[in-house]
Amino acid sequence: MKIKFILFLFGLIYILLPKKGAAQNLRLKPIWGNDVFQTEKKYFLSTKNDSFQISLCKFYLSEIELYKKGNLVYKEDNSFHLINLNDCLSLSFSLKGNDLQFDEIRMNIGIDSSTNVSGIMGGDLDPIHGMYWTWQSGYINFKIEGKSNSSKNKTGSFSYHLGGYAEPFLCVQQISLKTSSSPLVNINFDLAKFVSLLPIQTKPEIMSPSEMAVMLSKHLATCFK
Amino acid sequence: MKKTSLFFCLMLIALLAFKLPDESLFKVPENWPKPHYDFSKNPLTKEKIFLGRTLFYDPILSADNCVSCSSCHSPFTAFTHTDHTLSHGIEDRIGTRNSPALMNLAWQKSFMWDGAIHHLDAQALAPISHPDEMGSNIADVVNRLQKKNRYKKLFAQAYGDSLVSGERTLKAISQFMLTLVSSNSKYDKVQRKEPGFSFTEAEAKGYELFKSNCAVCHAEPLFTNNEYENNGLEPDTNLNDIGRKKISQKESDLYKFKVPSLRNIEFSYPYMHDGRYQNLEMVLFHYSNNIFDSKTLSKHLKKKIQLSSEDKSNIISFLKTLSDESFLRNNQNGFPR
Repeated sequence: MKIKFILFLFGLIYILLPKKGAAQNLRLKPIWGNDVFQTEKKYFLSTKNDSFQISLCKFYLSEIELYKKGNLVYKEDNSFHLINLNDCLSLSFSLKGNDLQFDEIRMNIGIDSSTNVSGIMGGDLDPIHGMYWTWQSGYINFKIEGKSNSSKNKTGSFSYHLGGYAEPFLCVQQISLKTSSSPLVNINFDLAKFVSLLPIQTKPEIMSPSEMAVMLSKHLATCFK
Repeated sequence: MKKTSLFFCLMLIALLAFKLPDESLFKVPENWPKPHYDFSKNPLTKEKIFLGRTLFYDPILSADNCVSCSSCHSPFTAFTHTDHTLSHGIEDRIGTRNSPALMNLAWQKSFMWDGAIHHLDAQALAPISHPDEMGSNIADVVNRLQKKNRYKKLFAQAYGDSLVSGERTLKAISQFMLTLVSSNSKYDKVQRKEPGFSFTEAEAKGYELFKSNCAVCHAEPLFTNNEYENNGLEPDTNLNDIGRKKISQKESDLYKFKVPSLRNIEFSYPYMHDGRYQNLEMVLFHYSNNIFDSKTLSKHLKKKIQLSSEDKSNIISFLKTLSDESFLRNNQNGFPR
């Protein structure tokens, strides 16, 4: 009888003890203006007559850091996440820290130079994911492909592969988002804003590091909020 | 105190053992510089080298199962493709460049004639993916390998489990390529003052001429300075190959190509990035009589190189001392049996 009581007491203490805090989750939400974005859906830009049907959009988020009043409170180890809009599992991930207090998230869109020159890596960085150039070395930071009525390509297709790890065509971009501590932080990625600056009529394809790739990468960094 | 120093000694040994590859698998030849490749990120093991060697000789890497790395990089010709000016791939498609000889790759900073590839681990991706070479892609290669029991076994032996990944595949191929060290030519033996080896009169004269006319780019002991130069070849208007400029996008790199090593040059004909010269006589004629001037021409070739026909034949005698029979006939580098 006594033993049972002691066990009950232990059980009670266990239940009442403060639990390990909730894991910190990040979720990327692709949007088109005010709507939830869907691949393969035909969209129109309101300002122009261009139509966009995006079949593929993949990119790297890396070097995730959390800040409180400008001070670093958390830095993810081995921080490389391949986001694929066609794979909803890739859109959310957990950070290893618990009960983190922060007011700002900083991260890279793309892969930094030193990782780029360190050879071939595994996991999300494995070249089997099609995010590594083969004709010359380097990661593709961001890839978007689809169709547009304004593309001058015969099939009406467009594809933009943005990358470049060395100056003057360094494409990786750091973004900083103000947020509040919450177990789940949503990051919106506005594709309508991104495609609005694509040179779809004049240059429906970019497949190598260039000035235009740098310009589009800078613009891409403004499409996360 | 003694114990502490012993501990530090042991730590140091452990650290060194971790940093440097196993001497039986890879050894830096006497008086050679430190390799450029970072072995700590891909430590050599016998099993990984064997996996890489098996992959190197297996046409499973190509889309139609016909072309392997060794199709254009044959061990008997210093791992290049002789008799073909431009190398060819699946369905007999012809590329735009002459396949380079593969050796001493641990000392090489970049790969391809234009340096498009900056790391040995990334190199194999290029021929695997190029439509005129193997016409496949690494994701498909991984899929094909995963289905073969033989590779499941080899990957498990090399990595502890049978998972096939792009990283594991590429790093194993690197391991095999890193072991392709050629450092046993007559030249090397003479430099090391091995008994019974000395240059003939022609070779010795050729060596002196080489040092004063060629070594500024083809620097000893690797016989390349790993730089890009325009060596005065008249651009081929059909191929229209702009060389390094394609990668750097700099006008100052127009028509520049990587300075190749001259080791085993006797066997790696034809010569130049487009394989335009069939023999060494033609190469020396080019350097002495046929330099095509342009804005990016190497500063070392601005002044005419004066060579008599005897000089040329002496230089060729010297160049032949760079042939390394033990490398060319090394069964360890051949088709795995």
